[in-house]
Amino acid sequence: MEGESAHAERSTVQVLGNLLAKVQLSKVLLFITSLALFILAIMLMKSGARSLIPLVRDSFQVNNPANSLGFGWLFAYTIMSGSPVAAAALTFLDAGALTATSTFTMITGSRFGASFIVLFIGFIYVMRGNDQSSGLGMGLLSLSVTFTTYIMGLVVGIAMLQSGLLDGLRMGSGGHLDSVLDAIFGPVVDLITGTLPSWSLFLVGLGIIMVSFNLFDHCLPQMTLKESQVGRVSRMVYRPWVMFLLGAGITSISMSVSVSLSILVPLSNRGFIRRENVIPYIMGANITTFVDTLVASLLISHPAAFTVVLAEMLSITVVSMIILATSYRRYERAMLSFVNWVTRRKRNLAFFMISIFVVPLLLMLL
Amino acid sequence: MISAILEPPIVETVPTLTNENQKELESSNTGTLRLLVAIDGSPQAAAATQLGATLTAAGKGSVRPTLVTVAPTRSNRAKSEAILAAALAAWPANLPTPQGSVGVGRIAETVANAATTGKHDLVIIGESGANRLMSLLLGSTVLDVAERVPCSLIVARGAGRPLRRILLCDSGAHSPSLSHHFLRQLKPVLGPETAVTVLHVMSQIAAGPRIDNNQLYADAETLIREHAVEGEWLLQDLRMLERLPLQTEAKVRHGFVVDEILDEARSGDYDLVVIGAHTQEGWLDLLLDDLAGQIIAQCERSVMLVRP
Repeated sequence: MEGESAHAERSTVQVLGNLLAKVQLSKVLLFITSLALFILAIMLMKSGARSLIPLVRDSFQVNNPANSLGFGWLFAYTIMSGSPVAAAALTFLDAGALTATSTFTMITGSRFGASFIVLFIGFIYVMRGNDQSSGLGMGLLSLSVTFTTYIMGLVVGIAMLQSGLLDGLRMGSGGHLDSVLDAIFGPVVDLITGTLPSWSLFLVGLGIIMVSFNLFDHCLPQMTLKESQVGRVSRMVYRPWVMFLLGAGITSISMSVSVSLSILVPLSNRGFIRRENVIPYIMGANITTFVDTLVASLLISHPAAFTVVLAEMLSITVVSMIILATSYRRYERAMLSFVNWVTRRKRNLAFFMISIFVVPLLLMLL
Repeated sequence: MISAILEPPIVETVPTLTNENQKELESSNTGTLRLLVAIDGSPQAAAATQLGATLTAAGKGSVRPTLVTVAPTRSNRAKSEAILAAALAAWPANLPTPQGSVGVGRIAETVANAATTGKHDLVIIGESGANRLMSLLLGSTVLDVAERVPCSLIVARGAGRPLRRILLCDSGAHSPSLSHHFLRQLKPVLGPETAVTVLHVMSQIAAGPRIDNNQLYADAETLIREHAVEGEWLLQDLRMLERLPLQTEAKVRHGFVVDEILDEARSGDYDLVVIGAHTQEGWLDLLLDDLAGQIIAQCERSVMLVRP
């Protein structure tokens, strides 16, 4: 055992060394480009959001927390990504189209929609005639954990926002940062705003932010996690809090739950992972996936933007901690039972798939 | 026959198996199993004593039992001596008379100390009977003992029936295999009437789509036939067990490790559930979950924690 521990420590050091060695100049440039595009996109979305107020409020009828939840949810389905929708919610807050609470629920909705992506990939796989338990298992689990923790998080987060608990932590882009960003990006923004109609600025910004996230995914170093202790997640059963921290740690770098989950696939030769390890990993990932939204909130001048994202992260953290500390075993059994129920029959799967489209539509009608 | 405080009983040396060689395994047949039964006068301790007597009878002279009681302070020593005397008196007359010891101090430390100084091979302890809330608040004495004793341990539950049906739960994490250590330690009390089911629980799921997951739903026979990793572990266990005249069977279940072991133990009416000890050291111990502790705490059957 001592030999195994020493080997584990050596391999962890080696992995860190390899990681640093693999940070190439091209990746650094790619990162700077994706960051610049991210900032430019936020500035354009901010400029364009005001002209979309009638569309959001009158056409889509987004005027309360329930339908902003549905709006964020469907919006994320439409563009197959959650982070741009969360950033859009902040620009709507900045433009006065949404209240802080509605912004909070729209961001939550964006996560519901984003968690569908992993399931969608599996669904395509099943549609091609493959085994549905294999194709959908991880996607369904990710979606189930996200739904349950975020629904509970809604209650906690809204209570945090409405009680003013986090008001002391309000933070927006400072005057100095604003002037620096204006100096760098102002001419480009002016050029685009002077050329394009105001209603299109938001869409252009949305497109740019999606490109920036895509570039960022390519910045991630090809981590040789398989060589480290992390590579044992397919064989060993880790304590739930260890997997929780691992999920949070990896996602704070990848910023995407689906990317963090896909990292698990090559960790074992057969692409298997222990049931016991998955759920806390997803719970941790669901918190730090907001890191990019938190950065976006610092680029928004509205002081409540930061508070809303912080409330989102804190509420999910509180809910996850409570589950892990009090009823984790029951929770993981319930999640796995639900996944088994959905994949057991095509009728159950059809019911579930219809539900996750009908529910956000119903929310939009409230 | 009450000895001085934790004075080690007179025992013979048990030959140690160093590899999986058939010859060596057979030679250990002549060894002695040094058994330490921890008692406190409770009904749970009676179950431990009963199991100790059952193993002593099955050992046909090759089991050397010792009963130990623990007094929290010296002023309680008389009470513990009375408990020990009663247990010795109740011991079946046709079996070798056990040694007796009375220790003073904390239960877990004292029992572990007795096991160490007496060079015992196996400790038997009864489930304390504390309810779950008390265990949560105060910690479980049984788990405390399980962590401290240097040898294997059986947590006795129920009537102390002869070991006819044994469930051996091999995760594949032990090298040599769990069955090797199990046979080395319990060989003197196993006979042709004993049926051993080797269980492996596959708790894995596919980490994503496009992964061939046939093995995640396969039974033991298929995994062995396909030379899957789990199949190789099971085959190794079966080959090891077949070196003795035992009835053997391999089984695979799919689900959470702890849940599946508890369910199999319940549904299969086993007399003993055998699991490997949580033996990670240092910072790895902080990372890995203590499944053995969870099984000991929740299993309704007697559980043997095998320590290599």
